[in-house]
This record gives sequence, C-alpha cells and structure tokens, in this order.
Amino acid sequence: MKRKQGRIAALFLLPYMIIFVIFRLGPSIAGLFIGFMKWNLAGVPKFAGIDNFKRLFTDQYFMVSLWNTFKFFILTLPPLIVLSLLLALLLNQKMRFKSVGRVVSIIPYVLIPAVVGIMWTWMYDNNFGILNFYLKKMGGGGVRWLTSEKMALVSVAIVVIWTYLGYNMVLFLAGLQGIPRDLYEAAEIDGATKVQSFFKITCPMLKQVATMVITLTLVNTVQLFDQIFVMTAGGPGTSTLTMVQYLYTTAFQNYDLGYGSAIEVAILVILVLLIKLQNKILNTNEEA
Amino acid sequence: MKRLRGSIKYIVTILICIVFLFPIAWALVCSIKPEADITSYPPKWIPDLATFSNYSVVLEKYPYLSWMKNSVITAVAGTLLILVLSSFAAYAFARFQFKGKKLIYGTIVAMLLIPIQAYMIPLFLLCSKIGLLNTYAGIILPSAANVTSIFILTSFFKELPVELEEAARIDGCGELRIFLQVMIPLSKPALSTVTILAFISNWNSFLWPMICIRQDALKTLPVGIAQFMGSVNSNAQFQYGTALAGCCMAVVPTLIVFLALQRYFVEGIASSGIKG
Amino acid sequence: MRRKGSKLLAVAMAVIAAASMMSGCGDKDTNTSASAQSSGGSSEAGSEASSAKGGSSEVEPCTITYYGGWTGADLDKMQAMVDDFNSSQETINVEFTSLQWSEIFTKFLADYQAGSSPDVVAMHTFEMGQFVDMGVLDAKQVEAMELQESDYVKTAWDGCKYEDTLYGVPIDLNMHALYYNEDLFKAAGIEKAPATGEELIDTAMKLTIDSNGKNATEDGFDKDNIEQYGFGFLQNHHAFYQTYSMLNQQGYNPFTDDMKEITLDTDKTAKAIQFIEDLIYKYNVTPVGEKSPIDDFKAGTVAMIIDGNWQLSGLNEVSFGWNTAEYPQIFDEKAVWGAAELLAFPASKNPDENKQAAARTFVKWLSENSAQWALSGQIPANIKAQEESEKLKGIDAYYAEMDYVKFLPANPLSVSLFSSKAPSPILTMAQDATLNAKDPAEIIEQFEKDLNDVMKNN
Repeated sequence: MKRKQGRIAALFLLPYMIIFVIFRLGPSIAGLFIGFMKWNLAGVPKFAGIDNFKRLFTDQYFMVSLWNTFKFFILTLPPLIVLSLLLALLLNQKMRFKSVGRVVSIIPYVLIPAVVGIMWTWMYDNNFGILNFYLKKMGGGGVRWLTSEKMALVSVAIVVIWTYLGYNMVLFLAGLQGIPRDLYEAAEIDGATKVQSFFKITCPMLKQVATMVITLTLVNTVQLFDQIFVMTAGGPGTSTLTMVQYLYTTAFQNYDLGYGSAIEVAILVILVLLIKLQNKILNTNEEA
Repeated sequence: MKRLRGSIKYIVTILICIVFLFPIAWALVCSIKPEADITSYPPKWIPDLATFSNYSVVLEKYPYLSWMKNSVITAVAGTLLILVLSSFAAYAFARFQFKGKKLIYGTIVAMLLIPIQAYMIPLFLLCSKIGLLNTYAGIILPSAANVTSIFILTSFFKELPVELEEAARIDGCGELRIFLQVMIPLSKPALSTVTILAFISNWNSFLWPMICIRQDALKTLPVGIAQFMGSVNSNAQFQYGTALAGCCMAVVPTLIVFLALQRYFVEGIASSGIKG
Repeated sequence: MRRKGSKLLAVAMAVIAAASMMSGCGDKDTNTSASAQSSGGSSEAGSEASSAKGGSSEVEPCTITYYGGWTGADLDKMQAMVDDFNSSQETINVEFTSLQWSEIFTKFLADYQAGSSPDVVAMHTFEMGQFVDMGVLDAKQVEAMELQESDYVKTAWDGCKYEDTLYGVPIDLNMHALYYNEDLFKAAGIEKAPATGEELIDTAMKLTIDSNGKNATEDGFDKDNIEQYGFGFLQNHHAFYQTYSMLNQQGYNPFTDDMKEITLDTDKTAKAIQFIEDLIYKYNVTPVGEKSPIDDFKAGTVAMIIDGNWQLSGLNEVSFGWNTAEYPQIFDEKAVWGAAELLAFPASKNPDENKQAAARTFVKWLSENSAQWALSGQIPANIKAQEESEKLKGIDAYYAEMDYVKFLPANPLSVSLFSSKAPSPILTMAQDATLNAKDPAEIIEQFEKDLNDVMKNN
C-alpha cells in the first residue's frame, strides 16, 4: 500500500516539481552560489571564496541597511498585527455592510505596488500634497513626509501598513471564524464577560493564525521593495535604505552581483533566525 | 446604550473605509483633471474641468490595450497553471505518505524567503538557453512555480474528512478519480483563495516580465505603465495625468477577479491557512 | 532511510544548481572565441560600413534592436523618430524598447551575457565608463562610421570619449538653467533674471513673501508663514549637481575619468555647500525638503527654479508668463552641470555584420535627423540637426550654456559614485546640506570618505 502510494504521489507531484525545480529552486540556489563569485554580469564569474561575506562585516552601508530594516520591521509589525486584529474583530460582528468593509479594506493590497508608491509620493508632497493641505488647514504645520531623515521611514511604513492591513485582517477574520461558537456560549453561561472571553478564548485560539500572520508580515516587510524604491530610492541620505534596496543597488546598478548575493544570504539568515525566534516566543512549531 | 454601541460600530467602519479609499478616490478624481490642475494648490476634489483626455492619451499613444491583452493572457494562463499543478502537488503532500515528504515540502516553503531579485539573473540565463525569452511561456512558466498556493492547498486538503475518500475507495474509485470527482468539488473556497492570490501576484508582477520581454508588443501592464510614469530619479518630466489614468485602468481586472471570488476568500483562508 | 532520501535530494539540487550556473557562465569558450572573432572581423566590418554609409542599400533586410531609458515626453519623441526611420526605408526595421535607465542597462547586460545583445543602446556620458570597463561596448563600430568632429557640439563629442577613444555617437545635451515666473517678477518690480550669486539672493528674497504680504527683505517678515518662495531646486542628487556647477565656477573639478582616490579642496567645496545651505536656512528663500520644484513652479508657489531642459515642453500649458536664463555665475567663471546622451554599439558574443551595418546606418540617420528630438526640449548634439530643429520657447538659455557645460566624468565607477539611489555618496552629501544643514566641514569629510570607500571597494 505504502509503496503504491509513493508511486501515485510521485505522479501527482511530478508536474509541479519539474517546474519548481527548473524555474525556482535551481535559479535560487545558483543565485546564492554567486555569493562566492566576483561577477559584474557582463564578464565571466571568478571564484572569490568568502571575500563577499567578509565584506559584509566591515561595510557601513550594510550595517545601516540592517538597522533600517530592523526599524522598519518594528514600525510596521505591531500595527499590522494589532490593528488588523481589531479590524477583524469589528468586521466579524453582526452588522450590515460588513462585507463592504471587508472588500474595501483589501483593495490596497490588490493595487500594483509601484502605483501605490507613486500615489503616495504625490499625496506626501510638502507643498502641493493633499495631506499637508489638510494638516495646514487644521492649523498644523506641514510635515516633510519623505524629505526628512526622521520622517521618511515612518512615512513609508504608513504606506506599507495601509497596503497590508486589509490582507492581514482577512487572515485574522478567517481565524476568528474557525473558532467554534459553542465555546463562547459556554463561557457566557459561566458568566464570563466579553473581555474575559476575548482573552481566555479568542486569544489562545488565534495563536496559530497569529503565528502565520507574523511570519507573513515578517517576510513581506523584510522583502518589501517596489514602494520604497519608487518613493525614496533609499533616501534621504540612507534613511530608508533597507537590505533589499541595498541588494538591488549593489547587484543592478553597481553590477557587483557577488556582493549582492552575499547580502541576500544575510537577509535569508536573518529571516530564518527571526522566524525561529518568533516560534520560540510563541511556543509553536510549524509542521509540514 | 445598545443602540449607541451599534452606531459606534458603523461610524468606526465608515471611518476605516474612508482611510482605505481616500488615496484611491483622490487618484481617480485627479486622473480626470487636466495635467496643469493636478498639481495646482489648493487641491480640489471637484475638478474645474473634467476631461478624459488623460485616458485617451494613454489609449492612443501607447499600445495600452495590447499590454492589457498580454497581462490578461499571462495572468490567466499562469493562474490556471498554478491551480492545476499546485492542487495535484498539494494533494500529494496532504494525503499520501512517501519518503522525503517533509524535506521536499520544507524546501518549497523555504523558497518564500528568497525574493525574485536574488534569482532573477540565473533564471534569465536559463530562459535564454531554452529559448523562453520574449515569449508568453517565459512569463507564465516561472510564475507557475508558486509557493503560497502549495501552502494554502496542502493545509486545506489535510482538513477534508478522510471518510469521503474511504467511501469512494470502497466504491472502487482510483486515486485520480477520488481527487478529481470528490476532493476538487469540495475545495471551492481554497481554490478561490488561490485564484485570487495567484492572479494578483501574476498581474502585478514587474521585475521578471520586464527582464524577460524585449518587444513592446509583448510587454505586460506593470512594465508598460512604468515607462510613462517616469521616476523621481530620472531627468524626465513626470506626467501625473497619464500615469494616474493608466494606473486606474490597470486595477480594474484585479478588482473584477477579487469581487467575483471574494465571498469565498475569507472562507478559503479560514478552512486552510490557519491550521498550517 | 529518510537520511538517504534527503541526501539524494541534496545531490539532485546541487546538480541542478550547477547546471543552471553553467547555463550562465558555461559559454566561456564561445565567449572568448566570439569576442576574438568580433575584434578580428571588425576591420572588415568597418570597410563595409564605410561603403554602406550612403544609405541602407547595401544592407540586407533585417530587424535590429535598440534600447533606451526614456520615459514620458522624451519617449514619445524618440518613438516617433524610430517610426520615421522605419518608414523612410525598407531594408532595416528598428525595434525600440524603453524602460527606465537602470532597468534597461540590467536588461542590456543580461542580454549580452546570454549572447543576444541589442544592436544599439542609449546611455549618458557618465554611465559610459562603467560599460567600457566591462568591455561591452564596441568602439570599432563608432570608428567605422567616420564621423566628423566638427559636425557635433564639442563638449558632447568629448564626453563620448574614454581614454581618447570615441565609444558612442552623441545625440543630445542636458543642462541646468534658471526658470523664472515673469508675472511674479512684474508683481515684485523685478526687471531681469539674476545673473550672479548676489543678484540671485537679492531677487529671491524680494520674491519670497509671507502670509502678510511682506517679502524677505522687509522688516517684520515672518519666515514661519511663507506663502511664496523665491527660489527652488531639487534636493536630491541634483543638489549635488549644483555643488558641482559651483566647484567648476571656481575653476575646480576634482572628478576625472581616471581618478582612483579623491582629496577635496576643503575651502572651495565648503563655499559651494555653504551657498546652498544659506539659500534655505539663512535667507529662507528656498523651501526645506522641496521634492518637486517644477510642480511648485507650475503652481506659482515658487518664483524661480533650477531645473533641466527636459522640463521645457511641459510648460506649454501654464497660465502665466515664464522664461529661462543661464545658470547664475555665483563664483569666478561660468560653469554649469550637464550631461550628454549618446548611442553606443554593444559588443556581441555572436556578431552579425549585416546587423552591425544596419545599426550604424540607423545611428547615423538618428543623429542627423534628430530635429524632432528638440520638440521634447532636448538639444541635439549634431549641429546640422540643431540648425534644422524648431527652437522651443526657453531653449536659448540652454544653447548659451553649451560652451561651458561641465559633465561628470566617465569613470568606471561614476555610476556608483554619483548614484541617484541610496547608498550614494552624492545623495548623502546633498541631503546633509539641504535637509540637515550640517556644517560644511563635516559634510566634506564624510563625502570624501564615502567617495573613497566606493573606489576602494570596487
């Protein structure tokens, strides 16, 4: 039986695996291998040992990008978890038009990322942007959204939160709907308040979804490229230079593909560590 | 008291909708303004002069409709391919026992962590070797190696009751028939979710189609739009009007797909991802 | 058992990885032989080209590929010119592809590596050094065109040279100049555009007006409630370009084609940086963190701006009177930042002499018939095309600057040194001045270090 299953499984798997290995796995591994090369894309790659990786440790820009990625992550993760959970709780209530709310909140996720970047750049403009117009109208001063080193990363984070909030909300909503109703009913009979049942029932039951949402948010924010690239290209100065931006400039402007790949390996290591850390904190184990 | 709380709910929901829709509405309004009015100060919600000239410029000056056609072809074909390949593979992961399953599955999911920038060049050189550059297949095939869909569908298939499968087996159905005639019809929510996510990611995909396609006639929408957006960094005039008009039209197909399938969307994720 | 399975898989993955690497660099042999062929055969190709010079009659019918990085109005005009060429003769069909510059270059290099180079690629002079250094440009083809130096604007011609070899055919020049709003000038009683640094500051102050209607020269001027600014400029890498203009105005240019290490003249550099900072922070005539001066100018909220000739064609629709003037002479001599665009011939791993001849025919045609190009505000580098072109309003000031325009060098590392994307020495430098008002001495120290780090690391 088992042997036969193996053969059938192979048949089911084969078409996908062929495509996957050729177009994703192979190139990805080859891409990581470039980290051991000195290569400018036009010439012939030369073996460079671990030079590229050594360079990471002495490169001030890499350190800056690491720090920025970390700050960016801190700025986006809590709102993307807390706000999206609150929104999911709201839209899980019995009310009319809740499906409108659900659809509307996910629209930003559907838009082409570069377009989102353009739209916001233009709303953020110091002088003719509509945001500063309203701020000034309300008696505040204008904010230099994208042209101040202090604000730029925050402004970009706002855009990212705006984009992914609805998507995360749907994930939480799905989680909420997976919680059996009778648990709440039982709690109500026992005289528990709504707040109590939120912390005693909802929270524990949402742990798995939360883990998934955090992992996805982690991957999405660390890999975020288009919006930042369009809005600030890493500036002002280096204040929005994240690791992926740095990877791109290194590999596709300076054409130092080997070093670019070393940066990618660093990103990968950091992602894996963060996911491990997160699993440890939340005390869950991902299963295949 | 209860009524008050009820109305607060609605007010909050409305406020949230405004936050989400505000940038989009502003873009829409400005796309029907003449270029000079778009950056005029103070900003106006009601255009002095409404005009569709930005739209006609986009449609007349650029092969916008053929970009649209290319995007539709590649996104639809890519999504269908993803649906077929991923559901077969995910079913194997969910329901069969075989050697190395955990490792293979883990390897696939791990690819989520490697962004396109990291494997774009090897992929390009590979595609040039096998003659896929400048073809629809060159865009579609790499997009078919989708990871999220495997993740979602595997979790979903795991949750389907074993009894159905066993009943079918007793009736003498083969594995293929069980899969196609029993499992797939039950998987509408998960398949809808995968369709939406795959379509969005294919439709919005930029870097790979840009590198893969050379002829103007084969460009997809995001690649085409990028060329009249200009950028803050190039020494070029920035034409807001045409860029906005082009963008507004580009969003329509994804919105249609989303609206058509959205009622299964939450359900689909609810019945899958969470148990991942 | 499981162990074995995973080992097998690991081996399989390694094989695949190796195979896909091979597909990348496996054609090492074909590569060298092809380039040997191309250098060996190019003298032949050269003689053929000179005979093909008259027209496309000797070229077999073919389709050639042309890459450029233009967007917006420039793209429209370039496409129109390519269409004109295609309909002007029957043998050569040019397929034109345009993306943004950095993207089109990645595509070009990837194509080169894959053995399918485009036949013509456009770039800027300062980007050329990088490609020459990589060995992906074919100077032999430029030589084969037998161009006359006297047919081209000298600065643009010289910009296409690297170590005395011409690597491309110049097609146009871009520069900074001053745009000013005539209506606002009239309202403030100003008669002529500023030509010197003092005039610039003085004029800009008169044009900077607060919410009470007082200008920056008057007592009681409220610098926290400014409604109209006198002067604006891009505060990204373009702010560095202005520093570059001002260094050259002091007869000083530290950047060269073959620089390996840089020591900046602290005094001169500090003067330039200080001038920029003073406009924003001392005289309050420029908004801090301005992102899009041209839009501010069009909206009438900034009276004068520094911007390039690529903006000219977009000003047709504005409702106020405007004009341009030469970049002000702030220091001892006239000088202004500029760049030239050129058409180059990529080297190819599989050279096709017929296509190369076709490419030369096309480039020659484009360079001589670029009058249309001027309609998007470009200044053709070919003198004949310049004479034939219709002069756009405001272009005169740019024409006047043509003799003293200063390009950034075509150093192999220019693209990294003078990048518009972070991390970039010039972006940090420019924004430390415009946005952070740091002490010039501190900026210079950092700038020098950043520049030298880039040169050391690459």
